[in-house]
Amino acid sequence: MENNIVISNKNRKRNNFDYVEIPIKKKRKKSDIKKVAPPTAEEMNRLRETENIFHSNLFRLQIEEMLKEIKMSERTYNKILLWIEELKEFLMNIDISFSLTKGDLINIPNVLFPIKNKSKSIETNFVFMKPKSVNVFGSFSSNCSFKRCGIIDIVVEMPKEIFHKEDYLNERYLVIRNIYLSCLASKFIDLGNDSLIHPTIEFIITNNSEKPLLRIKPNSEKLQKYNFYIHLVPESGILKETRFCPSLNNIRYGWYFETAGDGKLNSPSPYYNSVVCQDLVTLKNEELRKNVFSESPNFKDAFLLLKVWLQQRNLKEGVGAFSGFLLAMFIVYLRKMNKLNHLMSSYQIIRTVWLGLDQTNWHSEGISLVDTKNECKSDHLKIFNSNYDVVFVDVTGNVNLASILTLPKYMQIKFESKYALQCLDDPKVNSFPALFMTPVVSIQEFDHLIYFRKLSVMKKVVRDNASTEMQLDFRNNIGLQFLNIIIKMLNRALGQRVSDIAYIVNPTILSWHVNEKIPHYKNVILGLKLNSEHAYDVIDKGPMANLPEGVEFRKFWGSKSELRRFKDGSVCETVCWVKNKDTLQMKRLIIRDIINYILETKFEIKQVHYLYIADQLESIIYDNYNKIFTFCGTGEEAVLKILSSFNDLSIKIRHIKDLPFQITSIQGTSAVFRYSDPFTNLPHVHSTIKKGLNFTEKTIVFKSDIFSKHTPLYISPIEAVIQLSVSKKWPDDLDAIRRLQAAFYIKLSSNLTKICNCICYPNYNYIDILKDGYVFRIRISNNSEISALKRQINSEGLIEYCDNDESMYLEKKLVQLPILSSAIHGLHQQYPAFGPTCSISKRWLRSQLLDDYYIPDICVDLLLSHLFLNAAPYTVSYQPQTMFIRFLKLISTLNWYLETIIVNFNDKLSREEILEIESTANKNRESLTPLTIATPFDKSGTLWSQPEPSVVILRKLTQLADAALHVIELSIFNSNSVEEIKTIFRPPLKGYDIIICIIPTVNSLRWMNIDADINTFCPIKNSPEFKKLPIVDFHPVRLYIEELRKYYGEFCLFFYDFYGGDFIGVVLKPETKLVKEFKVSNMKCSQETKNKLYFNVEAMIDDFHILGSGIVERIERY
Amino acid sequence: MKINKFGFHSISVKFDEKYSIPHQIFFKQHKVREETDDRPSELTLFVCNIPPYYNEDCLKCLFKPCGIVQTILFAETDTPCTIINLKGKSKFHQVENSKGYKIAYIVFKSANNLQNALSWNPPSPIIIKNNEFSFLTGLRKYCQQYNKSISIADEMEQEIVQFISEYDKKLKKEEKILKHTAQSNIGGWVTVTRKGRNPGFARKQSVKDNIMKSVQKKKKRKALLNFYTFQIKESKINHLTKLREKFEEDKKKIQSLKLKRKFKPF
Repeated sequence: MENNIVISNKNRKRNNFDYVEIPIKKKRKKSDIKKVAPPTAEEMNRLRETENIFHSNLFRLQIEEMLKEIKMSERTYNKILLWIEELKEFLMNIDISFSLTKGDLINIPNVLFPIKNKSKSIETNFVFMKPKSVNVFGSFSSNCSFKRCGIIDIVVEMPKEIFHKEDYLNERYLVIRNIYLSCLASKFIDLGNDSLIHPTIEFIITNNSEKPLLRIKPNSEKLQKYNFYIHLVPESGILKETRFCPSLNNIRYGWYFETAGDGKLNSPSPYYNSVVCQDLVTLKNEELRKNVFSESPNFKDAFLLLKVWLQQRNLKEGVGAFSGFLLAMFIVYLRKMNKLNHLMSSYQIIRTVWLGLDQTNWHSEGISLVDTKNECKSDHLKIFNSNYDVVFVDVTGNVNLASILTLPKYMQIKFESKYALQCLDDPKVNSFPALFMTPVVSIQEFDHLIYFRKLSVMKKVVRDNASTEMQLDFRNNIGLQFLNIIIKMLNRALGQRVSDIAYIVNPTILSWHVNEKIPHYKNVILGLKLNSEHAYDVIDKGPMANLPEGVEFRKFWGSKSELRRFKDGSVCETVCWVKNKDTLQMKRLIIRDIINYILETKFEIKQVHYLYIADQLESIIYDNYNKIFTFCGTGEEAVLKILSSFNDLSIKIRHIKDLPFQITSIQGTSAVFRYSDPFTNLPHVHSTIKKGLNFTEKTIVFKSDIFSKHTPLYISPIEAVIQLSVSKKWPDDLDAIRRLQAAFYIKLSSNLTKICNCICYPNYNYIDILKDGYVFRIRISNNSEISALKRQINSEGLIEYCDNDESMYLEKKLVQLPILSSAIHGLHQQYPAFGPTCSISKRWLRSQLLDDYYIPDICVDLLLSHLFLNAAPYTVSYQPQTMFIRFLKLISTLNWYLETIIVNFNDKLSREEILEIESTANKNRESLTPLTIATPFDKSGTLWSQPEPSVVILRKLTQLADAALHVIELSIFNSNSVEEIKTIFRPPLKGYDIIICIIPTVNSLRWMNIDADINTFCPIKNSPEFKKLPIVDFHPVRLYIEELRKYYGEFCLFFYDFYGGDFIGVVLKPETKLVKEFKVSNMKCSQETKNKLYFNVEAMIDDFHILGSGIVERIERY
Repeated sequence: MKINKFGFHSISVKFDEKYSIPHQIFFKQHKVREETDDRPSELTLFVCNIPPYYNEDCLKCLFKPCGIVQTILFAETDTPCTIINLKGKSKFHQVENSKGYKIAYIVFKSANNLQNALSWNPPSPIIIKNNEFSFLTGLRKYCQQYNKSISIADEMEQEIVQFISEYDKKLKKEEKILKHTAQSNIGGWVTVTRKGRNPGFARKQSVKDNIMKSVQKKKKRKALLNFYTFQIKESKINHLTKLREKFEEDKKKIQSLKLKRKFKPF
């Protein structure tokens, strides 16, 4: 206490002192303070608002920017309004003399009738009359249309007089509606070129094929990019809405099937009812929507944002889609339930909408816009729920607005909303781009895709399997019926194996010129998302055999079903798909087998009729193994074998007693330990070529006199690191440390040979251990070695520790790499697709002649880890192919220079740390490497991307990925896609100045070439014993390239595919083409003419020959 | 005799008869202001643009017609510190350091030889490779390297034992000297070392930094915060500026995102 007082006294004294002595300083301080402008009320408000009602400041700014980008400007809005006025006037005064009498064929001049109705003739009289009113409605009326490809909905009210009393029945209303629409179209066509309307007039089907719309465009250049959709509604009061109660029948059996049917057969037609009735209530709902949206501009903003979100997920348009109208009505619903109010910010609104979508279950208990006071509401809803899959009742209580929304789409919406909420709640990522900016593509989204190309197949399925009720209700809507049948069946067959079955019908929007035939939908794609817990179950366990369910089970699975006894003694019906010992690669495809079986037995759809897209790209790595070795899948099993052998070895090493230093850990560093080696070692790659080799007692070496042209096949050493405990025994001198380490290797080797009878071979820098047919290469990770390398004495005579190239290299290899390897190992355990994806990706990268030198292996591993940890807008896929395509997308769109890639292993980095990494990276951008990958272990992000990849390489990579993606997208839906996709693994020969061709037999990885002939490699059998250390890590072409890079790296870039490439591409740097002054520093590899120096390319090529004697076949210059 | 205006002589050299295009090698007498003992100017030839794979044998063979070559020093550039030196390294851990085209200092035995070299006018391209020395490149070289890396276990042990014993001797010697200096006090001054009863600080930058840090910390602890009204006012202003700064930073981020055209969803 006393002390404190003393100090404060002192302080005060000092303050006084300051004041007296240096008044200038104090003054300056004051002026500093004055510089800060006092905050205005507005600013304070904004700052506070951001904290409270938006996700974050950044999120808010991003929302504002995007809205600015997509909103229509006031000027164009007004222009469009003016045009609409003109259109209105034209339509209100339209005069068409057109009439049909009962029984006439429907024939409208210039226009083909846009729907396929049952009878070609009309069943009532029809006389065209002027519309009752013309109005703008939908998003444009509240000014929430998009700026680009904006759509403006116009509703034309058909007059009462053209309808008859019984028009609710048997599609009559639809026929009249479409005749009216055709009449308008025909009038527009008659107008010719010089009118209000652009002459291309089209019918368009957005989501309901029975009610096409008319698409017109203004005839002025500025407005031509806007589409005007003409909707038709009848004047109110012509048909009773209660007529369309879901449980009633409005399509008579007798009429539809043209047979005299009993009245009982008239089953309810809920779909048809809602199609017609929706037109009747459109304007009432629209009125309600307008009222709500006019409450606050934030409703409009939120609506726009959500529309973007839907659009990016392809959920807004197409068969069974969640239309913008439905979205708007849901916002109205939430407003009615008082979950939204006019004070909320747009961010709060979208969040509430997502929450609402997540929490309501339209498929089990529908929601309704009818006032809650209505007591019989729940009974009312029950009727709806029993007739529809998804229920959202409109304001009149008569129509299900969600009748066109299919169940799979609805489930997708629910899933996406939940996912969106998760994204928002994760404070660590900037979720904005994932939610709004990235379009979702089906080949990147789903694990498996089933692609039906032929309409005839679908028709057949519907013909054979649809019930009469369904046929009556949906009539000629084949697509919906097909989807309904097939998805139900797949759900039954796959059960818990999949988490989601979605569908895509292409093209999403059908449009055609009014005098053309109605086009068909081209194809249907089913997308499956796997449920990782059950997807790879080898058997489907059914009920006990003696139960009635057992009979049903057997009936469903047919001959596949068999009785099995389980460990708990029960005997159950089961279906077994693969053998237990089959590889993971085959297990990934169990679902394909199931679907093949089901489609064949239930629907007689043969495999030629559809395409199953799941493993086309996996064949690249799968083939490699198949070429010379016995079957072993995509390599995961081989990795497991190595890991178990390595574990065994490390236990043995730890048990060695009398070592001078204590071992704290043994960790793997090879790519194998990260599951990311495109070719994992197998235990038996002993060379069958004996010529030119000398077999000594423990090893195999080359003969010095006899020379074979065939080099032994490559065996890569499996590298690991021994961590030693800190000890004071290490000397300070680097040379001494290294010699002691070598002594340690010798000691370890002699002890290990004694204990476990394996061949050990100590070397100066490492020890090679031959165990179970693998060669493990183990190094010591020793901190004193690194610090000895770092030690320097600075100008003050103090000892300093500074990083230099050699110390960095060692630190990376011996300290950082083991940590990273174990983190990535963990990642693979979590997402088993990681390993194979990584293998495919590396195989692809290398086949583009970008080797480890340009894009270090570990960078690829990290980029992929990033992809797996930040999968948004998707969820992580369990199929390597899907992830590989996402990887291509990532590198083709990534802005290397502006973005820092953050790989947040195990969520170790906190939000603050991430923000800090980003801001420091932005500040120091110029001094950082072109590619920055930050991890919890290296926050600077530059550790692994030095010195390469350079900007040139990254730019090239981006182009290559883009091209590859293009090829995949084009060819993956073709039947022989495997062969076509292989082209992306063949390097182009263009663009190189010099090409060095390699003698194929010297290439010790020759069998990995994508086009290598399988027959030239005899399968290598397990040799019974592994007693001699084989030739390890001997790759002459690599040694050659390393030498070339070292010597000529200044002048050229060398490109080579290490996985079996047969040529080296050389690009001369542009500096070599310059004429230089005669100076010592410019003399390298040049010749003198007239006191100037010229680069001597020919001599350099000769050097290539000399250095590559025995390796180079020929060198071509372009 | 070709001498260009910069005083450089040039000769054309071919490695092997097979190849058509010769390399041009430039040389002149080594002359610098500060001469070093190992490269006396009257004996030394300064040679440039030597292909990277040429070794001492090649150069000896090349300049054989001029006289006896005493030593050859390779360098990467013509500044004196880049001489490639392999001495002192273990013979099992020799790394080739050459990175591309080299410079060499060739020291002749007598001044005559140098003069011979400077007036040398060889017939067009000299061919180096002959039977006098074995020089491997390509596949054979790699095979040889591989063999070398394998067959050394026993030799290695011997070398290590020898080195370590020498090293231990050296250490002991140094320690002795250290002890000696610690005990003696010349002219009243005592040398403080890390050993002994009152060891001094380790002479390390990190130790110095740590001391400075703790001093600063102590200073900070003594100061009063949020005590005077001006301090409170200041802290409020600081808070505001921080908020503003963050806002500005976010704005900048948006700007950079804008550059990436990230706000056009379709």
